[in-house]
Amino acid sequence: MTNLNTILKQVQKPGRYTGGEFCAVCKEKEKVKERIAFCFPDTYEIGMSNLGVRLLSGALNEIPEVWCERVYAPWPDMEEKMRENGIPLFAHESRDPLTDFDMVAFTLQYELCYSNVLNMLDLAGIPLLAKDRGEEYPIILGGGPCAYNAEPVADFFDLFSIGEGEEALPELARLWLSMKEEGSFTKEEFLHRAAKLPGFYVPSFYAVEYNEDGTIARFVPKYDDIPMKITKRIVKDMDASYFPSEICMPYIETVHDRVVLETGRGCIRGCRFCQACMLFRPVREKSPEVLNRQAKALIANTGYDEITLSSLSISDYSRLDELTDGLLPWTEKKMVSLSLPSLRVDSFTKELMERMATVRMGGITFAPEAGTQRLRDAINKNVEEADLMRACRVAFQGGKSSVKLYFKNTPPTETYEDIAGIADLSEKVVKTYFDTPERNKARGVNVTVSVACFVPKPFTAFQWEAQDDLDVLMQKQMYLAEKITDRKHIRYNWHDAHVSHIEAVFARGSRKLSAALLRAHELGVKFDGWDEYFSYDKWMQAFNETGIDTKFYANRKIGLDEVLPWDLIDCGVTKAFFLRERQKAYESVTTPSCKEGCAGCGANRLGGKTKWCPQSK
Amino acid sequence: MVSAEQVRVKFTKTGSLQFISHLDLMRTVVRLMLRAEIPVAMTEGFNPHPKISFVLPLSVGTQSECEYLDFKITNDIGFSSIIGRMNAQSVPGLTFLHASTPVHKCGEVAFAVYDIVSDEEYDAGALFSQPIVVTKHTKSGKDKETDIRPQIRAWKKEGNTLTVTLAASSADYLNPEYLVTAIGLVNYDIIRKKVLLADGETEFE
Repeated sequence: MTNLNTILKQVQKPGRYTGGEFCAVCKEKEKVKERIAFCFPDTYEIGMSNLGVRLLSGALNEIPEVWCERVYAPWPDMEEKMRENGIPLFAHESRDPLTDFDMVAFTLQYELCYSNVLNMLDLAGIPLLAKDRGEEYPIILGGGPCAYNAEPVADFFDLFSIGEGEEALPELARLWLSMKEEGSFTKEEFLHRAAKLPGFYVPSFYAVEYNEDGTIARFVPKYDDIPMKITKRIVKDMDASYFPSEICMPYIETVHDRVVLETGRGCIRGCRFCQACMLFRPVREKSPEVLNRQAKALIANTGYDEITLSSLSISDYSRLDELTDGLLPWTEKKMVSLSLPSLRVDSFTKELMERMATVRMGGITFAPEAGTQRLRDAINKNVEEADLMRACRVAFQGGKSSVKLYFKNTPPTETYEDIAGIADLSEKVVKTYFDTPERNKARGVNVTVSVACFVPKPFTAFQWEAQDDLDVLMQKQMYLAEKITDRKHIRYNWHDAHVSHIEAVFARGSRKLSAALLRAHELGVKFDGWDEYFSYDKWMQAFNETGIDTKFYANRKIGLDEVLPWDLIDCGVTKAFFLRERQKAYESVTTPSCKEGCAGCGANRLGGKTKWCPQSK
Repeated sequence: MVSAEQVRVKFTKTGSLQFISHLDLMRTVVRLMLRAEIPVAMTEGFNPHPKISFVLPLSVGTQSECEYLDFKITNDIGFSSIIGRMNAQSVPGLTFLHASTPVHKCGEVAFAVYDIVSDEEYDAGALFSQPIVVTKHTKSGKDKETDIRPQIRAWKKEGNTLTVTLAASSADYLNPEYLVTAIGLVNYDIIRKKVLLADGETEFE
């Protein structure tokens, strides 16, 4: 009999599986009443970097009767050893199998993790389909951005948490506890009561009827006391919201191995392709005082020497100066550095860069998203070429010599002229470098152009739009490759269009896709987010064998009056707003940011201490 | 009066920590010392961090009851305070045993004693009575056949535990995994028990 330690000697990076990290939450299992396994369906290194997992498992562990542990997807070498030796998927802290748990939660951060969710359930010995799981199996819960259109995975889950979970998940855990205590617990009754809590969606309670053409006719509720619109949950007061003062410290290097300080949620900008912006509206901010206090505690309790300020658009944080004024005196003394994620070019100033002088970064990242002003207006990226050049000049003057530029290829209305514009803009950045006398001449300029394919996402102005056919996507990528001639200074990266196609299928998919997912799982599909495992051929085989036409989901323009698979969900921002934004995109008309005036997205209906919203009527 | 400036801490690395690599341990200990507010001397330069070094790095998969960590402190807080503070910030398996002024130079390390514990049956007497040829992967990528028997200074087998004294100087180092492979063990634990000087008797301190 081979034991776990023997297996760990045979796999790569065994530190992924050992547990026992400083500040890992361990409770006595005899003393807790409810055990929750919080699963991140990707590697340990990525999962440990996720702020959501830290927040939600922390919030659940605040309840004394609840023990929430972490679970990550084992890398295929480890999975193979586990299957060989009959070791089921286990939780990180206790090493108990997932079948010992009362609830198993998955955070769904991106569509490409769905195959891993199925594989993890399988490795845990838990039947994949909700309907096949009796009372003896844990409740399977989903949440995160993909829960907003969870239809493709609806058949595998018992329920979904819609929106922010810091308050919702403890409420759900308490409902479980109270029903167990009063002896009234059955899975059906629990789900029925959960479906009546704000922000929970129980897919099996809503039957989907289809039209002959495969579009959705209607949702039919199983009970007449459950809502026909599930409104997302938000944290009303960011300052008062739960925030852990400790971090479970990984031994091995993780993706974001540092203190992550969340300055707020939502984004004032409203780029028309961006889903995160809408999912996290209304815009709420934390105060500099609270952030400073949390940062101090985290540095003292972790021993990290870096803090990253996290937000969808950090330079739009309204009190950034006050925050850095508060942080810099003590962080400099402690030799703790501050870092920022990608910046908006229109607010990147010399002052900001000097404040971040201690930042250890090789380069600077900007996201102009499109190559021409017309297209930037159409996608509502309110940034001008002059802003980009000015920001690059500031960076070059400050000694930076490498700049990363993010673009989106093939959004609605894009022409070949717009694509050529990406090459043009990149070459102008190179020229700006040589036109900046104070540049760092020692290293020479290095511009990386990174181009992602447009993927239409639910709850955006572009949710009805078609993604270009796969061959068109690839042809446009090659067109840009031809246009970029200065390969000495410009490096061109593009996303695999095959991956983007699969992503688009699932982003706007319906429950009909679950059959294909099951088949793909049988074919061994996993770790789709990793080049070495993504298999387009296997996916296509799965779709073909289950009668799914991927073009129906990815490459079709959806009728504006169609019932959308995610119509049961209310993200706060209204469909009327998305329709208006869509129209403006076709007219290349921009919408000003929340700061400049309310565009009436509707998210202020949700209430809360918002930063810019007018009071809801 | 010996200055407390230079500190050597003896610690254990047991249990699951055997799977943490040398670099990961380094990062873990640096963060632990920052949390413990040890007044450790920092490196110079753009990215200052506590300047620490491990005397005899351990391979992944080997446990140890005798690891040594060297650093300098800028403020004499006392050896027992260092140990107390560090243990308060530590994790199971990483226990700081004692701190003192270094007696020996790192270069004086010559041997390490390991326990190889396994319930699997094998004839140790036969094994050590002849050359033990193993395949070593060299840095150039070529495999090389080597007899490791000369690198084994002493051995003793009692019950399921084989105790061996292996070469452990910077010029001549034998990873105990080679021996385990030569024996053909599958389920086993390796624990470093002692670090010795050239006489094969005096413990490093």
